[in-house]
Amino acid sequence: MFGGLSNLVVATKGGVVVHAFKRFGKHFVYDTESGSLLETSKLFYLLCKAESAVGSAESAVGAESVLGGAESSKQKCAGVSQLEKEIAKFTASELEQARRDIETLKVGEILFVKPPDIKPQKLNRGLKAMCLHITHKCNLACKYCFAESGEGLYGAADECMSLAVGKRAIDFLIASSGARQNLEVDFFGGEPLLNFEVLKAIVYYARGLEGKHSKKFNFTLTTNALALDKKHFDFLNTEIFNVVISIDGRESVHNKVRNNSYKRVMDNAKAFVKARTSARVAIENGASGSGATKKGSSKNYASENSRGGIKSYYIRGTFTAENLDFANDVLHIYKQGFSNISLEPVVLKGGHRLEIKSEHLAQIDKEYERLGKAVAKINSEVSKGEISKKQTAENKALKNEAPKNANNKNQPLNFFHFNIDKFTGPCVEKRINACGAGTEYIAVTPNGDIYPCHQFAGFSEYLLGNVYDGLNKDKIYIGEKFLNTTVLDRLECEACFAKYHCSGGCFANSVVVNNNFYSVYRVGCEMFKSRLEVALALLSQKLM
Amino acid sequence: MNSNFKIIASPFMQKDIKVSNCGECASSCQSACKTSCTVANQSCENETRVNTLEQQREAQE
Repeated sequence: MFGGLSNLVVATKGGVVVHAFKRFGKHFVYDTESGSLLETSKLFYLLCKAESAVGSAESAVGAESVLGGAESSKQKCAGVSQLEKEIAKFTASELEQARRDIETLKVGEILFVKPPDIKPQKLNRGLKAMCLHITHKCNLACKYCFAESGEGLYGAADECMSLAVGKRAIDFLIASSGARQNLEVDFFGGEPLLNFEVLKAIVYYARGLEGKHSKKFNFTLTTNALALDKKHFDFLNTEIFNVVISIDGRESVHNKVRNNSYKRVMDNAKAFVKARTSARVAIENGASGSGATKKGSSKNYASENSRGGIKSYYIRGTFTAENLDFANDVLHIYKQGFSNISLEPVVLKGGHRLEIKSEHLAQIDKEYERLGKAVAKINSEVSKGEISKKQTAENKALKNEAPKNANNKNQPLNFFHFNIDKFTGPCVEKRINACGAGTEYIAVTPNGDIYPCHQFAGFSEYLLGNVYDGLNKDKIYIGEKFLNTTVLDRLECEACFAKYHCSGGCFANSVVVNNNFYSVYRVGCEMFKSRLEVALALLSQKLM
Repeated sequence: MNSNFKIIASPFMQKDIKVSNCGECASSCQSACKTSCTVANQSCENETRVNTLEQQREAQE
């Protein structure tokens, strides 16, 4: 009965990754190598799934040692057999039509498309971004902080960056940035607001160099908001294009891992976002600033405006093994009046009580789908409300007004991991090159030491140099290691449908969890795939 | 929707390979992750490419 599929078997063997999946009770097929996404009938989905399983099982038989052994290939063959049974429930004419449709899409290079001929440039074009550890002091001691555990310990915990080191870091970034125009500096810690005067002075110093060097700095700040106060607002709303505030969700969840700081943090964050939203509305009403949203743009608000005149924010939390019902935390944050939200799974070494383990993955998968449903419902209602509001505005010629408070329920829920722009997302080169750590992105600690990224800070092997002395020639091989490890160089990623979305994942996660730079963090991969499937499914509803 | 499929997103990878890599986009870890490598939801900063893709979007919609 699979005679009509033999051509497709050849296609899957050629490196094509076609992923058939179900979300929200609907069927989808995603062609990894072309980026095509289809919502399909059940039969179409079954045929594609069977085809992928056949290809996968055949590959497993031929390369058992790499792909999981003989047992794995047996399981895959059993899966194919089960799919055959399900397909047999359809009529011959239904089968024939579905096969014809698949063939048409194949000929049209929409489905089962051969991989693009990507030749990674692996160019070292200089630095673009810097994570500036403005201080290692912190007014919290969160239970999962990567600065507090293992080899990655930040060292002198009360160390603050001096203005001299900060200026030198900016000089180093400019001097190492080649022809790039957009440069990024994230103020990180510790808690950056504990060294606020130096932070401000560094920003003004960098601004003073923009014209001379034809550079544009985009500053971001990651804060726990415990010390966030009105005295910071004007500066942050003028100079910092994205402020990331750490809140983990419900009061009980947040307090358990973040030193009972919920009430103060939440109050501060609300006040800040209210001020920031008012500033945004003022800009929108006052001018068609460089960050104004283009009419009909498919980009999300946070990314659309973040690098222009209008400033953005994110509430960024962490979930752990103790709140696997984390959708409730995202929704809690939203109900407090926040629109741009990210909630990341914690990454910890084996044995930590908060560690997310493989046995948690099934529940996490369901939770991402539950969150996706909630996001779709919320954004659908907001969308209907906006249409109604527009009509009212047209009729009554009402002027725009700033929201009276931050609890504006008319805002969509913009969940960071569900944002996929199917039209104007990143280019292929970006998709294969991961985060740029060690090549275009570095971290600088309070004393000026340079590491490939903030998560490697304190790892002696990854100490690359110092902003005063430059890069250590003996450590140049480290930068080359990052540069030469694209997702295409990772064997474990070859057959993964998510590879052009995560670029092979976080290098630091691989080192921290597996102690192997070239490996992938498997638990993280599975969570990534779950949320990617939900994000792709949401595209069919045009709500993200 | 055809009885068997509806195209939600059109293929782009093969075309896009020719217009890639200006190097002006944001680093993913500077947005909101800091622990996961979420690359594909970053925005493109290449105006030429974005305008081309926007035109394709309008043509499709």
